[in-house]
Amino acid sequence: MNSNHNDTIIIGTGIAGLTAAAELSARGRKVLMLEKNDSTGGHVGQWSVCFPFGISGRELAESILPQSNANVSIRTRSTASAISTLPDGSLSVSCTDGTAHSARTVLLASGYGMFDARLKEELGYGIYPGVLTSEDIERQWQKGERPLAGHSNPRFAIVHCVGSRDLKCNIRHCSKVCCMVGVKMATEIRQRYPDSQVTNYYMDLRMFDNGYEELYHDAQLNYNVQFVRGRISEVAPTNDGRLYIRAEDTLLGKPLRDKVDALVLMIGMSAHEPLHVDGEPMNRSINGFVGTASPVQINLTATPGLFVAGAAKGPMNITEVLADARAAAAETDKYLSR
Amino acid sequence: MKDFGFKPVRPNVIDLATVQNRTWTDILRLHPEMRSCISCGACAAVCPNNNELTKMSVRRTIIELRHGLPLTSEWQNCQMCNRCSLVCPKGLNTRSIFFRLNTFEALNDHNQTNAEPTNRK
Repeated sequence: MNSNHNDTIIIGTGIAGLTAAAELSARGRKVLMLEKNDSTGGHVGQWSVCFPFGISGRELAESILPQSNANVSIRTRSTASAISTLPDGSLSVSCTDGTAHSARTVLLASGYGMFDARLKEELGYGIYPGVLTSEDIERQWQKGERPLAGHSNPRFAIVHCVGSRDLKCNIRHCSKVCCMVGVKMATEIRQRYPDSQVTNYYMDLRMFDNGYEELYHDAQLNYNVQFVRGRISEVAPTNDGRLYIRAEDTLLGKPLRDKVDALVLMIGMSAHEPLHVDGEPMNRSINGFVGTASPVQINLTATPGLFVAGAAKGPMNITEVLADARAAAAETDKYLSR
Repeated sequence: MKDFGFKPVRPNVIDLATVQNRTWTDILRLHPEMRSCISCGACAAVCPNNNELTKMSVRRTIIELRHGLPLTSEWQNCQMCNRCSLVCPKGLNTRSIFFRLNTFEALNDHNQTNAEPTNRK
């Protein structure tokens, strides 16, 4: 099954892939999208509320690329396994189901993987049911579930930097968005459970982008979220089915304990295994994500015609992904016009 | 109780699950903006009473009030000079806290609940 009528193959249908597809189709390019899961939208498509837009990830994904688009065809359950350069300079993407697709350009928008929180055993993920990851909670809320519905005055603890900046797990990079997600989730919890108490345990808060610092200030002032500088290093179950946690308040230099109903881990983004291009694994940047051709060619990889967009290059927030995907689409279009 | 020749001291631990921070609640009633303290320590750095002789720390006092801990810093030495409020990046009226700290009814409770001395450094 070798179809050569596409201008571009986009690997991944997260917001990066969808944005690039919308841009390229608007420029009259034929796009084939490959998605490994059953549905489009990627990680963001499963999240209940996106900051600062205030809409669900599903709504956001659908607003980027409407369902029916004559120039875009989407193949779900197709996992790209390798890319090879054909003699005529075009690229061929082979999938694990045995099919191969070729086009003049390929745009890699494969995003990121979530850190496996079970690797941080001291936090008890996968051992105690009260320990959840940020993604678990977002998915449950997206499905309309309401965890801890029966509890009065539920206490939540949010742990920042799980699986980022962690040399023990061989992860050196900062996942960048989890500070904001942690604070956003704290305010979300306070909205959904008005009688709750939320404490965020942070190493340092990196509120770098527009609106983040305002969100932080709002969480403190209007949602009464407590911030403790310190890292939870021990979690144990209590007799009444709650979680006993230990940390240090490093601003006071004193040990700190609490009993909570739910512990939410802000898990970081981790890089996927590199795709093989012409038999060799792709170049990787310092943080293990897809590397680019040069500091200026931020959307081109070392292979001509193979472009990259979005969080496949490293942790990015939604706004950055939208801009980066549009830039990648423009680069791809320029390459196709040559 | 038998005299063992030593007295057990209160554990030097913050227990958020059982904490009574009524003083803090009272402070928040008057100054809800105090929640936005980020513990940067600018107040403690300019404080003329944070020196070799009087160890007063505005930052420390605020965190201890927030956690309902006994106040280890010598906050009674405050001279109301207002330098802490002047440098606060969040524009918090920290001087007002120290001015009113004595007058809060709950402070008595605060001192009673935390009456036993802790291991001070």
